[in-house]
Amino acid sequence: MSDLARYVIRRIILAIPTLLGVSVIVFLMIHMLPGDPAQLLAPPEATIQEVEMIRRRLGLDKPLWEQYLIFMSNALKGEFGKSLFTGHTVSELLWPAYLNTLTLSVLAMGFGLVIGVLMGIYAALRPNTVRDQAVTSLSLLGISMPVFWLGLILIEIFSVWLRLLPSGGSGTFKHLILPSLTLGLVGAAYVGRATRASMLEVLSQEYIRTARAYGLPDRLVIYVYALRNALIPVVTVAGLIFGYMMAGAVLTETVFSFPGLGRLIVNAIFARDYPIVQAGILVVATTFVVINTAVDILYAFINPRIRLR
Amino acid sequence: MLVELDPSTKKTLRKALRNRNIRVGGIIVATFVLMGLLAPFIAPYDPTKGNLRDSLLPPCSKYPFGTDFAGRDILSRVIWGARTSLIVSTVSVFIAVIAGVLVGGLSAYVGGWIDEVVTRIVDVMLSFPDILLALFVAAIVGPGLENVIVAVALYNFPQFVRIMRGSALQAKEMEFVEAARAIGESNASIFARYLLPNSLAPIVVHATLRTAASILTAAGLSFLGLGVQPPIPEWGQMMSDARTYLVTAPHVWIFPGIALFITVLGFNLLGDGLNDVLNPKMEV
Amino acid sequence: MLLEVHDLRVSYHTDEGTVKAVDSVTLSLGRRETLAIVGESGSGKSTLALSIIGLLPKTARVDGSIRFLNKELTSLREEEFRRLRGDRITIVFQEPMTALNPVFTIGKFMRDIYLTHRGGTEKDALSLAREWLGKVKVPGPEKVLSSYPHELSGGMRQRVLIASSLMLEPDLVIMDEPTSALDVSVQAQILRLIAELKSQVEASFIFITHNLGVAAAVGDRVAVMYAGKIVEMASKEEIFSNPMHPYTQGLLRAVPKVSGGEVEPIPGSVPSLVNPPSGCRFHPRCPLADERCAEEEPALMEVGSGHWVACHRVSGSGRW
Ligand SMILES: Nc1ncnc2c1ncn2[C@@H]1O[C@H](COP(=O)(O)OP(=O)(O)O)[C@@H](O)[C@H]1O
Ligand SMILES: [Mg+2]
Repeated sequence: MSDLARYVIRRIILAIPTLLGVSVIVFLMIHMLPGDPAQLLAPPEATIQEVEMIRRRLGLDKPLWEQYLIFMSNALKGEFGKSLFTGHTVSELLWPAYLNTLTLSVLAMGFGLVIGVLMGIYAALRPNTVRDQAVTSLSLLGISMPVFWLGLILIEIFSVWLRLLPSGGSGTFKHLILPSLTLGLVGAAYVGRATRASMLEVLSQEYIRTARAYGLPDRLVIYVYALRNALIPVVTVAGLIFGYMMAGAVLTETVFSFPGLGRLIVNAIFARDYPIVQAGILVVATTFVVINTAVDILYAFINPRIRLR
Repeated sequence: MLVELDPSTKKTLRKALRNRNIRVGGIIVATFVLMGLLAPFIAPYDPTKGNLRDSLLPPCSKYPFGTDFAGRDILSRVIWGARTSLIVSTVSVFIAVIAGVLVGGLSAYVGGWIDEVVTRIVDVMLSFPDILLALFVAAIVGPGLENVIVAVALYNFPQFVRIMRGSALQAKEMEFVEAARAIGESNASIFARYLLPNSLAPIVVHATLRTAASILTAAGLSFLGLGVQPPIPEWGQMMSDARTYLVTAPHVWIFPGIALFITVLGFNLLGDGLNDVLNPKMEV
Repeated sequence: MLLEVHDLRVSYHTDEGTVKAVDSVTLSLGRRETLAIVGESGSGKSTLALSIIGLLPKTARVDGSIRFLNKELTSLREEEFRRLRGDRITIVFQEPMTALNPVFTIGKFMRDIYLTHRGGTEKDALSLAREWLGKVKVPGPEKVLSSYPHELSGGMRQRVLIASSLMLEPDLVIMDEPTSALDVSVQAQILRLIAELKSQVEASFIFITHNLGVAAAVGDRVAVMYAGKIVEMASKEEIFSNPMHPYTQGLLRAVPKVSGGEVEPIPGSVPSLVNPPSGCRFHPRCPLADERCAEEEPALMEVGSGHWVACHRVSGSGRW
């Protein structure tokens, strides 16, 4: 087996205990809440008999570990029970919302990566000049920006003043532009900072001097020889940022009344619709772990040195 | 009282005062802290009582930032909002730092299966990205000032465990720690005399940066309605019904947003500057 | 002459002041000639090398003239200079461990050099690279082409860089302490390889080292540098049989001997080049120095055919 294959397998195995831990915490949520779990998981108008039925159906009278096994085997099948109030199953609500959030995050991520990487390179090529300081300051402004406030500002500009884009809702591509721009700008700030720092570091390396010493053209040196190395840490940052975007979507979706997972979770928290809350949080955290694992694997592909470890 | 500083501390201090990020960030943070502390004396109006006849007035000479739907002075609410943010962020970061330093330091120092378990738990906690962990806690404990503090503290805790553990592991390998252990210095004393000071710089830097993140997260929770509840003035919460006033009264959400943005910026600047001064790497 | 350096001065701007790393250096190099430059660390050898190949950092300021292939390099447009680099002038650096890009294979690096300067096909590029890897005696050239730098030893990497520097048959090859970072046993192998290759190619060489023994073994002529200046220059036979400058004599005593006899390092160290000593820069360390040495800078003068020295105590001015 190649070093790379071994590394990939080990990295995947390493993610499993983390995912189990996440599922345990989410599972325990219902037991951490004050009150009787069966009562919490029953619709408010449920009779005592109905509550008892739920208790038995969900195994809430069984020992905790057995309950967890039931929870997990259902979760692995993508089943999270029924929403307490809407009459839908959790899956019916969860997956469309998840897809919306995923679309939003991917779009924002693409946006953030392109802008951020370009900004970072642009700054790193002329360190400590006006343009570098401009990029550095902009990035700092970006990471300090409350994402929901940025969303409101963009609505004010593009929807209220210019009347170009809808201020909320979903359905068409136009509805995606402002929310993904909002998330993407904040992402770009993080990516820009990371790219600048790592590009500066790489440009001072000896192998860059070697490439120049052999007359390789600037374009090749910067965009291939340097960038390939500089992007290695950026890939990790990008993985983290993608997670933040899925979480940050909670706020952005609220601002834009966008029917994503974040909105679903928040509404469910208000409604005390706990199966939805559990499923939503589990899905976001799982996605985050999966993405970070994928990023680590990608890391090994672009950085041959890591495969040794 | 005059304190004699040793030369290296003096040098660091001089460097810090010359750093532009520290100066600008420091001024912003100081303003924020003063605003929070002195809110009762500098706010022109009672932040919780409004005059319904003055509802949703745009900025004017009587109300420089205008009023909200209940006729409350937004300037006063912004000033008092600083106090709420100050309380939430400092208390929650303080709790997280203390808990993180103890757990992370001990975990690194003791090692073995305890360290393994702590690392795993931290990994799991960090698998809830950003605001999600705070959201999760808020879902369990419900809204309210104290609960936001708990949620934000828990959201910061694993970060500090990780940092403290990392630098304690480094310090543990150093000769003077091994020497101290060899001559039988007690664990507690080694912890306090070597591991802790060695980790101070990254902890201070990170605490500053996490304060920025915590202010954002707390405001986010309140914006969602899961944090500080009205009538307590809080910036995020003041913006929560902004959508209603997008066209008619944008001042309702613009001013608290500016306050929030600048405060977070101040802590980020300060953190960046401290990082440059305290963790000097190769300067380009 | 292939290369003529005239009154070259290079200084770096730093917070501590201006470092005069190369001060009024004049030298020339004919075709197929090898000039060895020797001097302790900090005497300005690398700065001289970098100024010839045009890779000085932006903080450096260059005055004087460097003529190469009838072009004035100090005022050459960057794009034109870039085309010379890797094609007509090449360089091998000291540190093979960090000189190669960690995320690309050896094959990609050598191929890019070829395609940049020659155009042509990938196949031609790789076959030439393979041929040269053979000439520098790496075991299994084909496998090395698809290797990443971290998979090769330091000696192997230096061989790869030597192959890269010779592959396009340049006019001038600069080697800046190519063996200093290697194990002693590997050093000897690489030196032997360089000597062997020198006879196979048309290039001229500038070979930089801090070991006068190595310099004399590799060079046709030897230039001794101290604190940014050339203090003595002569054929290798002359340098060995008739070293005139006290610094050269010191370096000679400092050469590690195969027999393992006593090595005498020169006491003291190279001064800071921000405020170099007045007069002769070597005078604070010189056993023969007198007042004049501290006041007046000795000029580089020809004392015999092709033998140049800058020292008041040996100058042909007749004053002494
Ligand atoms: N990039 C630089 N910036 C400032 N000073 C430098 C730089 N490179 C070299 N120097 C200084 O120039 C002098 C000559 O250095 P160098 O050319 O590297 O000598 P050598 O190769 O003989 O060791 C030294 O004093 C060194 O500190
Ligand atoms: Mg050198």
